Amino acid sequence: MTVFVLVFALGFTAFFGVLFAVVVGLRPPELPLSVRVPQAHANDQVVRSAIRRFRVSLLVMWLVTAAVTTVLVSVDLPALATVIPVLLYAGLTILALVLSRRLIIRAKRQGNWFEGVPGRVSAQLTPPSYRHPPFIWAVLAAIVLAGATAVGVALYPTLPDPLPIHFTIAGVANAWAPKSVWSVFGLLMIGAVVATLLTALSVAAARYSVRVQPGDTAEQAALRTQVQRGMLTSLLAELAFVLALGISAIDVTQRLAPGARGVIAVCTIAMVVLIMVVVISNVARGRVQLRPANVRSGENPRPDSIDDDEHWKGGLFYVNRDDPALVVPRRFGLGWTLNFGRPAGVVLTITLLLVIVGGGIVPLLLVTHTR
Amino acid sequence: MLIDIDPDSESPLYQQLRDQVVRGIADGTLKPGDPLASVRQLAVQFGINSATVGKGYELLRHEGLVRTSRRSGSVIARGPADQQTAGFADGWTDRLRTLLAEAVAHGMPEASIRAATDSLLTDFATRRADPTRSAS
Repeated sequence: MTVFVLVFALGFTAFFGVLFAVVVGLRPPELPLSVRVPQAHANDQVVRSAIRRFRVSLLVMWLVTAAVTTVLVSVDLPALATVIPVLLYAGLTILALVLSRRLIIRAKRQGNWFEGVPGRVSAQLTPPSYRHPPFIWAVLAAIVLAGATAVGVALYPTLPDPLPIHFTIAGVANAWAPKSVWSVFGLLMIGAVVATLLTALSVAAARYSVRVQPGDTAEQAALRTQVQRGMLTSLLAELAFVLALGISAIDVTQRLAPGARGVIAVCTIAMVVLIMVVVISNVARGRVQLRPANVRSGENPRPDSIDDDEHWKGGLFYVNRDDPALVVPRRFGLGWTLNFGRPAGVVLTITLLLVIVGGGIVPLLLVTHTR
Repeated sequence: MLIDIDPDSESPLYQQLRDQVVRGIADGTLKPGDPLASVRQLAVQFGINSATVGKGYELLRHEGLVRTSRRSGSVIARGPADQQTAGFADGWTDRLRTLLAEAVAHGMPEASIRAATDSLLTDFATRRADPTRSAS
């Protein structure tokens, strides 16, 4: 158990460290560490050393997290050791980002980088054509979920009533529910809902508007849109399949060998590892595809952006009352973020936080309670 | 095609949008039938009010340069090769009169005015003939 907790916590935080290190490379040259700089300063020494500093601190912070985790495990607090390292590392990486980007912000202020630089806001009048997401993953997800459902239907008459729904590590049932469609197929229903949601999100991602980066030519802006859309759509579509696969596998083993030792743990770990592989591989591929969009030739220079740093708190949170958009592309990393300058953005965030906290704490309480 | 607007300019944002679409048609970057982003998409990209973008599109529709249908959205309605828009010359001559008057009033020699006009017209024509030069 302790080894499992250690591997889980360290693997999970290492995943985020690698993800952040890769994501830094996705940036357009004029947005190092989410600071807006004019093209003339995009490759300054201070910019490069700030990025290097951020990458080094990702590693240092991970080592700190690893030390804390080891202490937590050694004083026999494994339940805390699964949650605290992840939260700690998330907090430390944000701190690393804030501290590293401060170098660029200071140089930018002292050097008045934006003084006399004419600012423009650019948009694509002719948007790149819509490419639908890879539906093969949704089809495969439906197939595995249908397969698991078929196993449940076939075995339904032979299942005991009440149905054991939770087992100790040793494989002894310690929680039961009356046999019903809900207790037998509930997990698969959750899987189907989550897979459908992820697929719907991937369809939405195929249409999302990427803001034009200053310095991009029309072709580069089009490439940036296509790559970012492609990265998100295939990432979400593949996640839908991985989740459906993992949940189906857990469900089928529950039916065929209830309480079999370690099977659920193995399935869960395999699913988490697959999710990490899917995320990292998509982001890394996107980074390679984005390379031509981040090249600046120097001839026919494009106008610079206006300095919009004031709307990005800490480089991460977008607060702009004058922007009608509720959802805007992230400045750092992948996907969207909400405009907290709009009341709807605040309401949505609070709802999401409640869902996440509820979804994280309730299962944890259940696990510790039934142990 | 990219549209660059200057939030600090004295010229209103919808006018800047409209002017750049007209230039895009003249230099061949925008061709008849080219689909345009929806008002909402463009407003979200710029981070400005939809009404502003809508006003720019409305101007272009009014001038017959853009056509909007429920099925295909907004598309470029005409190009330099199409027949001249009826009644176009009247209002345009009036605006040209003001533009030329400005140049004359500021003491720009007649030869320079003609040279500037010729060079702009040639630029449009060469860009139309060679699409790789109309990237920006």
